[in-house]
This record gives sequence, C-alpha cells and structure tokens, in this order.
Amino acid sequence: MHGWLNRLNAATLCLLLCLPLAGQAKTVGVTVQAVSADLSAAQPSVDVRMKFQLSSPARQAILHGVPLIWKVTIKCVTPRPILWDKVLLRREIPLRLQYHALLNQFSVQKGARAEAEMFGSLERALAAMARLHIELGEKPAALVNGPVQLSIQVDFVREALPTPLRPDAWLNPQWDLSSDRSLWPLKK
Amino acid sequence: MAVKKIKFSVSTLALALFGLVLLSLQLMSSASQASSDLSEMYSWLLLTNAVGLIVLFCLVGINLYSLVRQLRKQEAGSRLTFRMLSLFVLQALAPAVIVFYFSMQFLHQSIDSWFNVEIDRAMEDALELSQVSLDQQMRWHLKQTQLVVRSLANKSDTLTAMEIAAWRETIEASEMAVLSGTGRIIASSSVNPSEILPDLPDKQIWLQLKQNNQYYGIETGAEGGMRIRVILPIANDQPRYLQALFAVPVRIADLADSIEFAFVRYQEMRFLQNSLKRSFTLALILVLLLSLLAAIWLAFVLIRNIVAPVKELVKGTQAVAEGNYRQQLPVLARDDLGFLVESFNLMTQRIAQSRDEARAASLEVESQRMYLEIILANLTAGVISFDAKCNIRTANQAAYRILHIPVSRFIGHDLSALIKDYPEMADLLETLQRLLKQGDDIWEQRIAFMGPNGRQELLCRGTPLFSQSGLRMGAVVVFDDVTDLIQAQKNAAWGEVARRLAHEIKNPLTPIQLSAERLQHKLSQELKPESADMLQRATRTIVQQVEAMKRMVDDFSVYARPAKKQVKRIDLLELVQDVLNLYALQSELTFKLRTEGRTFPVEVDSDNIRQVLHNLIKNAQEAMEGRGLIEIRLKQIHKNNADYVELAVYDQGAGLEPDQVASIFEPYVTNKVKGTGLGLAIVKKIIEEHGGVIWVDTAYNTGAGFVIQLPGA
Repeated sequence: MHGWLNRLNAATLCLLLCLPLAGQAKTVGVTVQAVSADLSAAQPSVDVRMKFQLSSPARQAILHGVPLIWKVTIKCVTPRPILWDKVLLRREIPLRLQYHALLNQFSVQKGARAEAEMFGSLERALAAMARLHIELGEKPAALVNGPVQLSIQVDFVREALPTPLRPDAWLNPQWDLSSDRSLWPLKK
Repeated sequence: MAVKKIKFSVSTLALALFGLVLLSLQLMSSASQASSDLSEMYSWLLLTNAVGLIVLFCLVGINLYSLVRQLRKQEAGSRLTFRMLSLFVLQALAPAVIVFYFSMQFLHQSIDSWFNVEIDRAMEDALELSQVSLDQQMRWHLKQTQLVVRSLANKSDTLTAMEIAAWRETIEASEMAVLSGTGRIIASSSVNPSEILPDLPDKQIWLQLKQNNQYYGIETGAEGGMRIRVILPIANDQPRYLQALFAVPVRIADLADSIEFAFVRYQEMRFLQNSLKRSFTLALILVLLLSLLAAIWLAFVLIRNIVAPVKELVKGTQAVAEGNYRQQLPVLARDDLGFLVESFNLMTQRIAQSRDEARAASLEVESQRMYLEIILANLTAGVISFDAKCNIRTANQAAYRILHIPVSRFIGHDLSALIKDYPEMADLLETLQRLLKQGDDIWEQRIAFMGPNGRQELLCRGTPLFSQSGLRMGAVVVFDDVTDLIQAQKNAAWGEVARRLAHEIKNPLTPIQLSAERLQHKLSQELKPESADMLQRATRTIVQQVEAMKRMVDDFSVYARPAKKQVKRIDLLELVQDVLNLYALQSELTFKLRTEGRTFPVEVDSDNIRQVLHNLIKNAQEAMEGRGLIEIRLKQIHKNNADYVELAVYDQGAGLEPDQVASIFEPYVTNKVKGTGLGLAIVKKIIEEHGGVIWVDTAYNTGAGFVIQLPGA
C-alpha cells in the first residue's frame, strides 16, 4: 500500500515538474500564418503563407552545407461529429533549403521536381520558401457539397538529416522545426 | 518433457532475439555512414536496438529480482548462483569497460585527427580559388556582353534580331536574347537550334535587375553544368535588356563542382564532428550494454543449469538429514555433477538399506530383549545386575518378590542407597556389597535375613562380567529363596534321625525297665535287708534313668517331628494370658505383662505356641530357682512392609554366658544339670515353622531375655 502511494506521489511530482516545459511557447519552427483557397475554379488551388524561424543549430547546419527539408501536408477534410474527419483530398509538397558554398547562395526547391531558386541570403530564401502555391489537381465532387476544412501541417524531416545528427535532432527541442496541425475553414 | 520443450522454445526465442539485436547493431553501424543505403533506416534501427536493450534489461532485471528473492528466502543454491554470477559479471564487465573506454578514446582521437587548421585553410583556399576563377570568367563575359550592348544601342528590334546571332557567335555565348522591360522576347539566338525559346530569368533575377540595372551571376544549368547569366540594359527608346548565357567550360565546372562538393562535405563533417562522436559513442554504448546484458542473461541461464544439480543435491541432503533415505535425485547431466548426483543416489540407497537392516536388527534385538525380560520376569530366582561401579543396572520381578524391596527404583544407585532406605535389610545388603567388591571370582553364599514373612534364607550366587578386552564391566547376582527347601531338608533329616533313634533306643528301654523291676520283685524277699535296700535303690535308679531316657527320646521325637500345625487366627495376648493363668497358682513366681497395643493377631497353631511359652517360662523358672519376676512384653511392630507381633520373655536369673548365646538354640545345648538341651531347640523350631524368628536379647543384663517375632495376621 505504502509502495503504491510513494510511486503515485513520484509520478505526480514528475508531471508537475514537466508542466513548465509543456507550457513553453515555440520560438523556432514553422507557423502557418494565412491560407487562401480557390475551390470554385476548375483547377482548385491553395495559397499558403508561412513563417520559418530557424534555431541556432539549424542555422549552423544550413551554413555548413546540411540541407534542411520540410514536408507540407495539405488535406481537405469534411468534419464529422463522431468519427474522424473524412479526407477528400491530400497533397504533400517537399520544401528543400540548401546553401551552395561555391556560389555563396541559398537554393530553395519547392516540390520534388521543381527547379531550385537561388537567393543571396538566408532570410530571402526563407521568405521565398514561406510562400507556397499549391495546385490541388482534379476537384472531387464532395468538395462542392458540405462544409470543408483545410488541414495544413508542416513537418521537418529529421530523417533527411545526416545520420550522426539524427539522434540529436530527435532529442534536442531546438530541432523541433515542425508546425502544429492547423485547420482552416474554406469558403466556397 | 513439456518443461524441456518450453525451455527449448524459450532458448530458441532468446537466441533469435539476440541474433536480431546483433543484426540490428550491425545494420545501425552501417547506417551511421552517411553515404550508406541504410541511412534512411538509422532511426528505426536505433529504436529497434533501444527496444532490444530494454527487453534484455527487463530479462536481466527479472532474473535479478528472482535471485534476490531466493537469497532472502535462503533457498538452496541461491548463494552459489549469486557468487558465480558476481564473478562472471566482474570478469565480463572489466575487460568490456576497458575496451569500451579505449575504443572511445581511439574513436574520438581519430575523428579529431580528421580536422585541423591546415585542412580548413586548404579547403577554404580551394573554394576561394574556384570562386575567383569563376568570378574572373564572369567578369570577362560581362565585359564581352557590355561590348555587345554598346554595339546594339539605339538600334531597332529588327536590326537587333539580325545581329544577335553574329554577336552570339563572336562572344561565344551559348544563348543570347533581347527582352523587353516586361520580359517579352524581342530576339534570341541559341547555339542549339532546337531551343526556340530562350531561358528567361525568374522573378528574383528581374527584381535584382530592376534594383541594380544589371545582373550577372553563375547558376547551375538544367543538365547539371554551370553557366553565367549576364543581363544588361540596352540603351534604347524602349526598355530593352540583353541576356547572354555563357557555359562555363566543363573542366572548370567539374573542378569547381568537385571542390564545392569536397568543401561542403568537409564543412558538414566539421559541423557534425561532435554529433559523429556522439553517434559512434551511442553505438558503442549500445554494443557494450547489449553485449553485457546478453552475457549476464546468458550467465543466468547457464549458471542456473549448472547450479540445478547442486540445488537438487542440497535438497537431497536436507531430506536425508530429516530422515528420508528414499530420496532419489534426477540426473540432469552426464558430467561431474551428474556423477555426484548418481553417487548421492547410490549412497542414499545404501543408507536406506542399512537403516532397514538396522531397524530389522533392532526389532530382533528388542524382541530378544523382551523375550529375555519375560524369562527373567518369570524366573523364580531373583536376578540383579550391577555395572562396573557396583550400581544397580537391572532387577527382575523375582528380586522384588524375594527381597520385598522395589529394587528397580534404585537403578543407577549402589546397595548403600537401599541400605539407607531399608536398614532392616542391612545385613543382607552389606554382605552382598562386600561380596561384590571383594573379587573377580564366582562366589556362592547362603544369607539369612528377616523378611516380611519371617526369616528367609537366600542362596546367593555372584558372577562377575567381563568385556571382550578383559575389563570388568559389572556383575550379576542370582539368589533363590531356599528357606522352605532348607526347612524341609532339616525336617527330613531330623525326622529320619528321630525315627531311627526312637526305633533303636526306645525299644531296649522297656525291657531294661521291666528287667530291673523284675529283679527288684524277685530278689527283694531273698536278700538281706541291706542288700535288699541296695537292690531297691539300684532298681529305682535304673527305672528313673530309663524314664529319663524315654523322656529324652520323646523330646527328641517331638523336636524332630514336623509340627502338625493347625493354624488359625488368634490374639496372642489371650494365649499368653491363658498360659499365665496356669502359673498364677505358683506363688513363688511373679509375672508382669506389658503390652503396647490392644490386640495382637497372629495366625499360629495355639498348641505349639503354648508349648513355646511353657518352655520359656519353665526355663526362666529354673533359672530363677522357682522364684522371681518373669516379665512378658507384647508389642506390634511394622517392618519390611509387613506387620509383626513381638513377644519377649525376661527373667531375673543367672543369665547366659556370652559363648552360650550363639549356640543356645542348638540341640543338646544346656546350662542346666538336668535337661535334654532340646527345649530351646524345640522353641526355635516351632517359631521358625511359623515363619518367625527368636533371638537372645543381649542388651538385657539382669537375666536372660528371649525375643520372638511372629508375622502378624
């Protein structure tokens, strides 16, 4: 009986100690600032405006030639009261940021097959990466009827980092460069 | 069998798990190389190894917990397991930690050796050289483009379109295009005729162009090569821009790429220096922990298998210590321990067999002992055994019957203890004690004592006991109550003597008396008065002496003849008073009767006892010459767990000489002038026939005192 009580007290203390950590606001990572979508067109598209804030280790990494990759996941969902949201459409766009030492420029590649754009400074490269225009492709019929929400999440791909850096990336909160999942109601 | 199958499955699973972990470690080690194909799986491999580590840790923890519990319960084999495990862990841990430490040191030093100031400088210099080279190329092409721009200034679009191809060839551009301010293509020329549309600048370039009024830069081409893009404004009415693309020579591009690649790799490695150390350290730690934990877990399994037979042996010895000799242990292995277990089983079998035999022998001995005890208990002879110190060891029932002493209560004590508790048996016991101590030979002695049923005579025979080594270890005394036997022998002897004497002596006496009387009768008339008187005196003497001889023979016959006892219960006091009443008329004698008690019941023949009283009183009267005081005392006594009546007769005569006391009761012993000497012998015979005893009270000095003890009724 006493053993169980002691364990419970210890767990409660740990939880209380972790509360300050849980309440800390994110100063690095990605924030989705604005989303606009044109669903009425034949080829619906979405414009996303994000804000990228790199941590110090991430800056050092990029300046030392380590490419940083994010994956933007966009889903059109129909919210349901009991079951999980129904996904009408799903797109994933990789964003790649890399420094080229020879040209002393930063390249930004939006999409797997897109051409890289070169920028003379990191800030301009991050600013260019923060604006994303996505063609959603063929419009599903369900998109027309019923309420639709846009779910956007930007995940930093730690697995793309060099292997020696990955354990650090998983354990160090400075490498938590992902965004929270955000839901944007869409007007048709 | 099911347990073995389960153990086999667990062992196989454990081995499979261990193999998986090893494989995962190897893969993780390979994945640590950034260029490896497995680098994408690095995190999963790390996670797998961590899970494997946790599983092994749990396995070891469970085993450790189980061992601690066994230690607390002090179960068999737990301490041995703990010691073996501790030694194994110490042996495994020490070299592993040493190897780990030095591996870490070597690794860190190796990684550190990859980077130094010279290499840093060299890489930077190489990159700078590449950049300068490309920059020079770019400046040269910029100058060339400026020349073309000056030549196309203020010319019409048509003319520009006609000259652009020549100028392109002149300055060796791969592509040349004239663009309007909005990005519309005015004219273009390309080294590749199939490319109709020129490679237009993107928004960023337009922005830079608008800001700086010129643009020049190096960019990577679509096919991977490098090119220099120069955009310069053309002086004209309309905003016009000349874009020229120059391919960087392949060799220079390749070298620049190569240098950039090496520089980037080096910078990346520089940046990842600590991360690299950490990841390799992590891998080494994982390897160390997994190896150690796996080894410890394996040690648990192996030690448990080794200790199992020892545990069984311990349980087996505990069972044997508790008396269970039927315990057989399973032989778990064919090794030294298995041999030990087999030997143990054989040993317990033999012990069980010996125990059964011992038990059977003990039962046999017990039954023989019981048999001997029954025989001893039913013997009519008393048997008392003594140890080397003459302490009583055993005594049979007959000993109690004969001695009337609970001899078995004095087992462990010597005869002195019996003498202390039973002083009336002192004579007998002291004699026995003396005989026991005196020698190592067989002895035989007849000993008389006063028992509850009166005088008893024992024929005692003692035999010393010796051990095989010749040491005296005790003695055995066997005694028989020969009182009745002796009495019967005496009676038979005296009866035979009396019969013969009566026949031989008594017969001639009558003729002698008759002959003397006839002579008296015949010759008294014929002799002179003096002779007749002498004849008469002689005849009277003959007749008197014959009469005396007849009386003596009669007395002897009476003594010798067994008394015909008509025993009945009487009060001895009444009998004494009857006898005294007969003597009351004799005024010369005074009787004093002293009694201690009111009744004195005895079982006797009244006539015989009356004869005893008469003999004693008559002796007293003769000793006092017919006058004086005769004191008779009666009392009851209790000894030897029996009641006796004591009758004493005291006179005030001359008493007895000391040398007469011992033989006064023998026949023909007398101090009287006239007497057959059989009176007291007859008295003694009668008293003994009644189970009593008579003796002379030597403490009485005024005269003679005789004390009779008869068994009470």
